[in-house]
Amino acid sequence: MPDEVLHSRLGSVVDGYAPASRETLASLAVEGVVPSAFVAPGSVESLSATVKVATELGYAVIPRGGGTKMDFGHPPSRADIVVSMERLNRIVAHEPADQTATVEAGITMAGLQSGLGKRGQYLPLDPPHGDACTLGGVLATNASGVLRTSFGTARDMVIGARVVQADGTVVRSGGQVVKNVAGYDLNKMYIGSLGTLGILAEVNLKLQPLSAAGRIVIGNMPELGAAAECAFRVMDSEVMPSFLELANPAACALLAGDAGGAPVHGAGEGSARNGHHFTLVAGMIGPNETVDWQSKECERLFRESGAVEVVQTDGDGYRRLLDAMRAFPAGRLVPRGMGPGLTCRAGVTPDRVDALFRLADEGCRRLSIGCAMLSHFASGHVAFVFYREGTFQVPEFDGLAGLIEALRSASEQQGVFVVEHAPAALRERVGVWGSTGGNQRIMEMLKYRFDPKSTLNPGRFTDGI
Amino acid sequence: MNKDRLVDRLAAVLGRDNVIDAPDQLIVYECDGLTIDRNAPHAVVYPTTTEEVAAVVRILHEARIPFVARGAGTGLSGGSLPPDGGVMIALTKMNRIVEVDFRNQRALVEAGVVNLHLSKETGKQGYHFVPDPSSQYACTIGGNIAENSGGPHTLKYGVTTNHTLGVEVVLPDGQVTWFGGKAEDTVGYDLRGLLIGSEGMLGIVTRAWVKLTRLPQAWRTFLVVFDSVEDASRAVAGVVDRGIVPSALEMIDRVAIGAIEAAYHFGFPLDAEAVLIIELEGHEAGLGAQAEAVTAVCGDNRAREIRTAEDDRERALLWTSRKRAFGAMGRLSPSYYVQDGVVPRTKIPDIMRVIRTTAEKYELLIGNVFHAGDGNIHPCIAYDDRDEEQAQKTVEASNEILRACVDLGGSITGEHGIGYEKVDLMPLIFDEPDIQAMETVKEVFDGDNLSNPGKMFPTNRSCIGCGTAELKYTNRQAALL
Repeated sequence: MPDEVLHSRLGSVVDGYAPASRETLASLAVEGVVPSAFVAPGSVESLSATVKVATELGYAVIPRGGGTKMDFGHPPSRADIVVSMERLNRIVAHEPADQTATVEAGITMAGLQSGLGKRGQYLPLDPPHGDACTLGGVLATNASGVLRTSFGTARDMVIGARVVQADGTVVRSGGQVVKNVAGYDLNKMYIGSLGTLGILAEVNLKLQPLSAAGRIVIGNMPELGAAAECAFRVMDSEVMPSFLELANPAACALLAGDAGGAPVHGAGEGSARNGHHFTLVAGMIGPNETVDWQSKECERLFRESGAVEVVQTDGDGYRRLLDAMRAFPAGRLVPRGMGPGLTCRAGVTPDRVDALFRLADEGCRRLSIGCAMLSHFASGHVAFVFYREGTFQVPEFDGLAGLIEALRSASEQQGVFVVEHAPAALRERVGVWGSTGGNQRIMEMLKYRFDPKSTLNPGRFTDGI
Repeated sequence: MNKDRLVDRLAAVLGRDNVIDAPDQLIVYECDGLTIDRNAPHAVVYPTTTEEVAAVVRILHEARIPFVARGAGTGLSGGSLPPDGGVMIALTKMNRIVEVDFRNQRALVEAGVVNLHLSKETGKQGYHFVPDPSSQYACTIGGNIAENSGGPHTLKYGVTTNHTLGVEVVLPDGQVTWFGGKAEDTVGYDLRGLLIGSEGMLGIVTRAWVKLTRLPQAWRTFLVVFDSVEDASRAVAGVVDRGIVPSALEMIDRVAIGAIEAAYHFGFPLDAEAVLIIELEGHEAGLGAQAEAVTAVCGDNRAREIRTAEDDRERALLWTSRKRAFGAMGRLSPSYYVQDGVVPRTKIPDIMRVIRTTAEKYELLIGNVFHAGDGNIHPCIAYDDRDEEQAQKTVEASNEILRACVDLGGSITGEHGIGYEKVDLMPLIFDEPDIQAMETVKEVFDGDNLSNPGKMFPTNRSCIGCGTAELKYTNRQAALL
């Protein structure tokens, strides 16, 4: 079909549509596949009409938020129309007394948080790429950050949604109240589905009040086993930190750099010099008095567990370190002079975190590459950044594939392992998602029923969905 | 398959003792906590393992016989009301706490484990299972998962879906699988999240990994007395507005106070128009300041009296009185009918006015005891189920209140589920395409419509959920016509 038909149909449903230039389209290539059209609908109705046109004409749609994770998942099997959500970026309603908000999915996380913050509230979700990524992108990838330890993930915060289905129908799920069990909980299904079942257009959110104070307690532990034991001790204590992170020496050095050095000097630069300290970072958020007590108690537990050094920081130091941890693994990924290339994440039980750290460390030693690891410990989440001088080369893929497979097989005994960012050839070889635990057939049926012509993000999700 | 042959086949799998089909025994199973709708099952079976559940479901699937799973039968929306000619799969014998993993703060339980038993088992080590429906001394975790149950303390900590990591499911064709597991993260579509709250329509949960939560270091429990419901409602909004998140924030009105006091003698003031139970939890340090803020808000809203629970015993008695309030309402009339609407919490004064005028209009006695902090109302209508006219008025009044909830921006159910009770109210909050999306999910999981048919989706439509499970009982239909 000639593209003129497509452009004319898009022109009829999107205000101010003009075919994008060849250069623009080339810059929007999704993993090498150059789209035929780029469109930014300005309303949910226009978005719905756009998707309807695409499905009718048999074009594939690639939804796009902030563009920070366009290489996540498998390369799309087709990529005809890139649909940007950038114009759907309003806070439609914010009801502070109800602690809820209705927002369009194309709003950036930074825009969302600053809008909500004006009235003393926030969404306790702090994924990487926080300034550039959009809420819709965060929901589609189910990204989260350090706060998941106390507030959970997007699935614990989205109370309602309006979703554009592949045939253009706009459907609602959930509602606007914080407690609601009417109908199936389709919100959950859409979150983390990478836009393959529908495009999240508008969501209703459950919010939290901003807290008076925040403080971080950093403990440098002499070795991994002691660090993990100490983390369990904190989990089992009355401290109840809002987050509890475990970093290996390389991650510590990166955080120290990103965080501007000072407050984590001991934890970061120092341990990088020593080369073998594992660091626990516990965060307290709440009223001043409570934070004081928690921090003191946490410091005591760190020391009793054999910490070589304990540092407390608040104010600027707290914010800088928090930002650095949130940016991991997407921030300044690797030590100076090293090339990024491979990031992965594992979701396991907390008691398997240290084993994954060890396994990755041994593998990297064999391959003579570096690895920075940061774990949201109590959630059993581990982010891995593998790096080397220059960039990873094809001859190394054998070794890397072996490492990924070893980590995946250890993780999947009771969890998951996902390749977040890697050269396409390596992703193709090891797969991105890993096992869906015998449920692939149900997932494929859901995909087929919600998107029979495979219009939405075709091929990017599990096993070719 | 005729009934005798079916019973023989089920007995061959489970043993004859674990299959009930005598009419006098089946009466017990003809309804759950929603007594207004009744329908006896064809037979009731008691499997003791996942494999037995799967074997039963395979037999039923092969013969295309509908089935419904049941826990303790405490549900309040008719979620486990048996489908016509259907078999009830009672999970009460699957009541083992399989594994408690304190290190990772989670437990593996069978579906029939009683909610409170898990918290009791783990309490000695300082942990509990957070969702605490008022029926927690009897209701099962499998039932909590099916309905995505809440409870007073879910205001701060979230409902069942927020505390369930993975579920083992017997699919409607008898296959067994896990959605999610022991770890928090999953890959692919969130089938775990989809299944929780699906009211037994997508499969039967047989086991689950659930989260255990550290018990708080300290708590403060207040009983605050008001001379008007409006003042109490404004105090609720005031607490939330100050950025305070209590662990529970409950309201009880004059009618319910009378019933509860008569039953439990806690010492509630009988002349009060409303009381609030406000519980703060957290660290000892800082709790005092929060308590002062709460006290100030209540004072600003003309609280007559603020009492503090002195010790664990008094706090426990207060909560027992609260959680058994519906039972106490039984003292006022032969039957009671509880609703479960939700409004944005700022709209509580509005919905309380609606409830009062509705009670006057239908000349019914309505008591209110509910989760004010998250806007989840529980008007409890006292009526005589032998009086057909009054039963009908009760359903009408209740529907009117739910419509008002929707008009105020809320929902028709916060924690009890749509069940059978509210199928025809679904169009109040969802349009046809929204409901179709849910039916699409149902068809993917249960193309033969065998797993708990006749629930959730509106009747009288050309859909798979209709037609095969018409129920005989007519009170509700009559009221809706």
